[in-house]
Amino acid sequence: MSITNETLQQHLKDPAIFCCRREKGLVISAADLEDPGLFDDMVEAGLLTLSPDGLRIEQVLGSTLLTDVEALTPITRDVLDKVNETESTPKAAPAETKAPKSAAAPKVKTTVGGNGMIHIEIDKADKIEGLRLDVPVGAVNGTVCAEGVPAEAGEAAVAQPTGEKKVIRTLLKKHIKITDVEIGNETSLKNGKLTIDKKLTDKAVLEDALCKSLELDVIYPDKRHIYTETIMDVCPIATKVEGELGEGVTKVLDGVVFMLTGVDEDGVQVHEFGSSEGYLDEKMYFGHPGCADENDIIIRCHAVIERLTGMTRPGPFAAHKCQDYIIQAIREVLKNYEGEVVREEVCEDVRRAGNPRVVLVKEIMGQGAMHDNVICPTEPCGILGGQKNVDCGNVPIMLTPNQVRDGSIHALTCIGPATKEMTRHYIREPLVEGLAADTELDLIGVVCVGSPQVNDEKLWVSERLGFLLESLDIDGCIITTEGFGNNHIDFVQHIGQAGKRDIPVVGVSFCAYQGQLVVGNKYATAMVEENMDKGGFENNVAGCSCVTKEVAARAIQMLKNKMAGVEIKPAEKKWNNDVINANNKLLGLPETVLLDNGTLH
Amino acid sequence: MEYMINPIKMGGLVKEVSNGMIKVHLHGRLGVICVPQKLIQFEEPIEPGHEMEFYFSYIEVIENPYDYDSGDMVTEHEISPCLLGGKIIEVNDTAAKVAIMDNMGTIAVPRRWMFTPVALEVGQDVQFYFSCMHVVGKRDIPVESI
Repeated sequence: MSITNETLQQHLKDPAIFCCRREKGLVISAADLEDPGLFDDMVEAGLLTLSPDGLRIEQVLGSTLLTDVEALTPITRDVLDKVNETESTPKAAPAETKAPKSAAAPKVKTTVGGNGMIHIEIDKADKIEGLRLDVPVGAVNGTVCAEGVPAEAGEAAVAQPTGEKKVIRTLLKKHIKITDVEIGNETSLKNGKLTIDKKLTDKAVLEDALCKSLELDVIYPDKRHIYTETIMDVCPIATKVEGELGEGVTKVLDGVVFMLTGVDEDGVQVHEFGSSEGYLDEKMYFGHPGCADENDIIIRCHAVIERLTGMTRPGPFAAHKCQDYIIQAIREVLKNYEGEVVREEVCEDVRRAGNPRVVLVKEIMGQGAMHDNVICPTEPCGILGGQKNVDCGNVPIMLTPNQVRDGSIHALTCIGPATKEMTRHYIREPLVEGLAADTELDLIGVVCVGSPQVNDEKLWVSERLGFLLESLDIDGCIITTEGFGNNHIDFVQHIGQAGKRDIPVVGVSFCAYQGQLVVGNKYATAMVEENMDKGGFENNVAGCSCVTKEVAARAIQMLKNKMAGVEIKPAEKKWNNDVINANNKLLGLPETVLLDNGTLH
Repeated sequence: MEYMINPIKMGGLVKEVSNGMIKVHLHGRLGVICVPQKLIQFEEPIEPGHEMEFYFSYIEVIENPYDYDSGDMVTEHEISPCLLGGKIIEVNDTAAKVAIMDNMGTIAVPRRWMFTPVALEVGQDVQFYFSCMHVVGKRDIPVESI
């Protein structure tokens, strides 16, 4: 990948390497040179070997090639007509280029007092390939600045919030505790016990011809060492009793969730890619937002769908649809159940005029079967009444924080057990909870934007997002994406759309080792890592590496720092969980303990 | 739009061995790779549960493919990434399957693994980094759990 003149100016002292094969007679310019920011990765991958005889970029500009030279080859004196005179500086040595760890390691200086804000600085970086970082953030009880940034500058840049709270709409979530679940002869709720009519499965399969059978069973917390087919989704049980999604009253059953599993008639896992079949106690990260909690009773709904339809859009959707028929029967009973409400959760959509206006952008999957979501169904976390974001062209859709917290997104759950966001994740998305509760911010809304397959479609959708952000006149945004792969293209593009409009932006994603970014831009300077796998890989544990409360806390603080106008210094070149834990420590958060699931490390 | 696919050292488990072909599931179930036994760097017979290590990258749809050289796909030396070509032989709503050049097997990956300027179709040319595989251990787990 060639470099721009702007990038070139930042790397004059770095080794000169051709990005592609170049032929005799060429006059060397920026367009011919590889980005030095990628050298570490290339060396590690065995694609590039730096030479002590290699020249620096400033020495080769304008020189003419005397012979053909292959791509990724250091440029040496013997292939040039001349070498530019430059200041006498040591020639680049492999170690300096490959592992400038002492220079790149984030150093955090804490400064107590001031406005209570935490500041971070990352040096300017116009490419972030290989950036796998949580940039250093600061302490809760005082102002923290990255080294080299005068604390006064940070303090001066931050205005005291003046936002007065104005409630637009209120949602009351009444949580009712379930202590026992049984598959029986009727659907009922009595004294904290949920009974599900076993005959419901016969009716549910009639909802979609592609669903051939459904089975229900109950898994208690102490009986989780049980084989399960691939975990397609974890879905809460909730129903509206007053108002529409996002306002009024919703009843939620605590202590119980549905878990959808599925195979086709040949026994092929519906999520053959990204499947998580195995022993349940080893295949779910209990307690994470998208998963069952430690003490939840799990109602397993196992679907068998028509042969060879597991890889088509209608096949997996049929399983979700039929499960929803069963959940709806429970919802109808729940509407009239007057059981003990163990917790009342008041959720408010508010304006805090005068505070920084921010939005949360959630990039969701939009590439086909399972890479899809049902938006705004009639019932919380339901199917009926909703629209799939793929069918909507993956365009940005604005939801209120309350709508998200009231189950406006039913995930058809993309591939990658550890990094996919399941339905339960969205109804208790930590970033929504954190931003909505932050009295220093004015959370305008949550934008859901799908990730299409083809590059041009990604750009088109991203441009729509850019103009939406512009029209909202926001002061900052956090952009997240689930999973990794080509969706990182639009993810970074979205960051660019915000950045070029001078909107401070923080990116949140799983990157680590396996999901390292393949594209970057000069606005992607603040990134927060979701990984919790020891090797930095996607693993087979559902919900392992998603947005957690800690990830959200770091991202929100990072956004505040960005909005304060403080430059951000890059973290280490390679993903390093120590950086994340240093940040956790500064924010008083628990340590991020990585799961050893047998991936390479 | 500029992006660059990079080889990453990855792991996978052997799921099946038949007719001289080894079927490997990538960790995280992000792909299924079938390669001939000659691409495996191991003296002993390969069995389900063997843990493999190899270089692999995202797969990029290319409209003007290069003249790829698979000469480095040999097991005599340490495994190293090699830019290879291939053709898409299957596409559905979830995944795409690619035949690796020079009859070196097939790779099936989710659509998210495919970087493309055009809608995916059978017959399209692709390129990606890949390497021979090296056995690094064996897991004592039931085949159905792989």
